[in-house]
Amino acid sequence: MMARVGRSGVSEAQGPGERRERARRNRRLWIIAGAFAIGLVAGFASGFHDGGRPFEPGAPWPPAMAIAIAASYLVAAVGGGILLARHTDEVALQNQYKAVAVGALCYVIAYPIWFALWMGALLPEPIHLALFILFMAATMLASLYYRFR
Amino acid sequence: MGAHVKNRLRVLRAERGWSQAELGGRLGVSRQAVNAIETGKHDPSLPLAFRLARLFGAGIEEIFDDGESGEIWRV
Repeated sequence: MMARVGRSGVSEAQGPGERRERARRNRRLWIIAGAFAIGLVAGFASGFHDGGRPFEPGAPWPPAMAIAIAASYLVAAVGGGILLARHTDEVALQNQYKAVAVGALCYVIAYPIWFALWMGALLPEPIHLALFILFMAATMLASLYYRFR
Repeated sequence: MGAHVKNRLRVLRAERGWSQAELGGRLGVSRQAVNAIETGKHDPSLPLAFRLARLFGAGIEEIFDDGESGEIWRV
């Protein structure tokens, strides 16, 4: 009746359900794009004010810019997360929860081991940025796994 | 993890000529969610199971089968 299959084998949006599903997907994309845009602006702003020493602990940012970046991150992460959750179904939410749990597990395993090896003078002091990146990478990989398995 | 329940979603959907996206849109979930339920990778929540039952005009037991005999232990 409404749903037809195109040459590519992908259903063409015809019925009210498909239109609703497409609208829901578009809303999600706009929310993600909005959060990404905030991150992009924050990234460019920090790039223009780091004095040519990106990510160096000794290269301070202007306090106003630091506050603006922190606030924009808070808005993008919390506000975007709440908005996104409203347009996310239970399957995707469950996958996301599991992926975050995998990321957290990686963190709680990696940090104590790194700390112990640092105390034994076998490794440099744990780097919080590296641990954050580890958490994010593990979460993203797990998210991809749960989505496409 | 326990065994997933079987379901007749694919058959019911095909009877109506709906795509996964069409069913997803009518349920308020994504096409991927419908696929995950159909293939048994995800057991729907009770509210979603009720929405499915209402949409197809059937009882939940007519759509889902957990493989149990129906006998319930009473305490």
